[in-house]
Amino acid sequence: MNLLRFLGMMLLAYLAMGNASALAADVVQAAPTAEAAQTQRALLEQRVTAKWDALIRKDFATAYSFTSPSYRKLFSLDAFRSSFGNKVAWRRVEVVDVEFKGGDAATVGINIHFVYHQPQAEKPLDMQTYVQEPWVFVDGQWWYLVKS
Amino acid sequence: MMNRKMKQLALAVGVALGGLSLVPSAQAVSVAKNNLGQALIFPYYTVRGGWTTLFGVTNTSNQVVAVKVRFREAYNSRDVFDFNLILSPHDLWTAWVTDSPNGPVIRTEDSSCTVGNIVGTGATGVTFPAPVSYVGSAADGGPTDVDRMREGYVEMIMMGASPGTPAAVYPLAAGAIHGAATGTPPGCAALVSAFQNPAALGSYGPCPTGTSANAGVSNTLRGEFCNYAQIPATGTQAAPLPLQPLKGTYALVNGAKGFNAVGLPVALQNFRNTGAMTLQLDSVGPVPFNNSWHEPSLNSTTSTGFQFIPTPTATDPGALSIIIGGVTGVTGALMRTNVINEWSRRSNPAAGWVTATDWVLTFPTKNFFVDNDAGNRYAGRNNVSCPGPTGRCNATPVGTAAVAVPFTQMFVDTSATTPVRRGSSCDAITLTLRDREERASTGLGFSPGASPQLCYETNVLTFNQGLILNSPIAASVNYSDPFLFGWMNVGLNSIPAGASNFGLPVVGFAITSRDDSATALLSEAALYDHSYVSPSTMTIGNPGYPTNGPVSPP
Repeated sequence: MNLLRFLGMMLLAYLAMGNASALAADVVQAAPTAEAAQTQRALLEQRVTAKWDALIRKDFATAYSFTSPSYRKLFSLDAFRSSFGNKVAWRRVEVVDVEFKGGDAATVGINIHFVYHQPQAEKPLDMQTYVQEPWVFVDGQWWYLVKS
Repeated sequence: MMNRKMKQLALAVGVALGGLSLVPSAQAVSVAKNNLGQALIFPYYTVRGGWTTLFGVTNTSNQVVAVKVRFREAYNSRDVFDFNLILSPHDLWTAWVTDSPNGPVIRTEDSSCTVGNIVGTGATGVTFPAPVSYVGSAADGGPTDVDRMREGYVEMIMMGASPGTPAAVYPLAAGAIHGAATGTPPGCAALVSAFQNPAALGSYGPCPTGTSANAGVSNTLRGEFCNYAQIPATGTQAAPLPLQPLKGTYALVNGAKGFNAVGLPVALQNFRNTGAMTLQLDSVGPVPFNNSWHEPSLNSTTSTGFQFIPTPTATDPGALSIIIGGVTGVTGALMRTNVINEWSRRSNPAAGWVTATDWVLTFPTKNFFVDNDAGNRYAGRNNVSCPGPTGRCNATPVGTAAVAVPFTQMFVDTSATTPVRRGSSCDAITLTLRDREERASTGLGFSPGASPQLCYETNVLTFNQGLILNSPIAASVNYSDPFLFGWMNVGLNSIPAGASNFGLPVVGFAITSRDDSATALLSEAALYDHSYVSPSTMTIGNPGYPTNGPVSPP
């Protein structure tokens, strides 16, 4: 990864978190610290969880605001909303793992807990599945990269 | 087990009889039109991209039925997870597989007995075991990671049936019957123990009558599960009843996208006429291959295979295509020269609605032709426990050219002077893509590669990169025409030198998703079974159609 780009990214991330006091110390370091990476992960996890919390509330407008700028240029909120079906009810998510791919992309593994009601059954099934979501870092923020 | 000469003789007789007769023999494996059978082939399972696959199987009979459930991965049909399911009379069992960071997980809320035990795992599930069947000495040139287990297909094969009553005579089978008060079978632990004890395997014989324990029958698997093709006549039942007890369903549910699609497995009727009870133990030590968890398989049919095919006179049952038993029986029942279905693909984000289609084409017996690895018990063709009546004995020996027919290319071939572990096995296909106004595509492409081909046991075709099943081995049918939807005809006409084109043994479906913002509909998906064209004739005999060993277990 380009070092200057990563440091710039760290700067934007820390500013976004209001953590300006830690900034000077990071800038003078020659390489990203484990602490900085941890902070970046925390920021990303917060964004992932917030997006899913919105989906669980069926607040598609808020969830849409987490999608990448390039996606939003092409797809309307209605298109985003209509990309989801109503056959399951999401309950909660948990971030399981994060794999950074350079400084501007990451794959986030999450467990989605949901309920599926088989048409022919009395009780709904409590289910969970593991998915890996692509996220990108653009303009100082993490965004969900929708497969379209 | 028949020796080679006897087998050739039987084969010749079978061909002669098949050619002369318009009526199926008493035992002839075929695709059941009524969706009830002795073996079920679920064309696809996946846990990729948020997908969960649910399975349901019903025992419609009054017998206790033992079923081998086996998950096979998509590349080369290697067994990645299997267990035995013991169904109460009239029981419906359900389970689902979903993804985890460590690979597929199976979960069930059902209490029916299973060996290995997955009962009551709804909350936690049982993770598929770490890969064994395609790593180390079993490697086949394909991937060796956990990810390989995330898609494939499932086979459920009836192993045997038991009256289950009186309990004194059939204590093991009776223990699988759900208790009236608790709803839970009381004897699952005893069944688990029996399936893991070579001394409890026993031998086949008529189902005993009487009310007290029967030495040599009670507490043995083959003694108690004494029925298979039919329920014998009894005092209250004047005539034998045919036993085709299994009905299946499946659903693909995407937990991330919120849509689902449902389908029916292929049901094979008249799969066997004798029991196929085996241990839930590997074929090592005292356990010969035929008694191990590797069997029964789709090589286990004791019946000739046939299909009803159209005739110019429209007479019914029409002409029959007959092939002798073993894997060739099932293969013959599934041979198709063409696969036909619909597709839809609209990717313009401004259009208001977006569609995508994937096709699944699974060759569930392909491994018995292209996976030739004599010493590898996980290979479709192996000589473990051979020579003798206790192994599959269908691998080609070193120094002899292995024949992949009706397929073109060996996936693994250790008979070659330099062993081949190719990691794929490709057959050329033809594509005719049309829109709904019968216009054929004039700008058809295919990726990867330029020529259309299917290289795995479970294949996914997508249209203009729609890829709703998220399969990493998907190939894309790419067209430049301004088509939005239509139908496609896939020709399975890969013809190896010296062989006639009988097509390939295939099952599958098309799945289409639709996102619709123009009409405020939410996203939805639907699954459509393929339509097929059968070959008009089939010829048995190398190089026309090798039999690749005996029925296993015999």
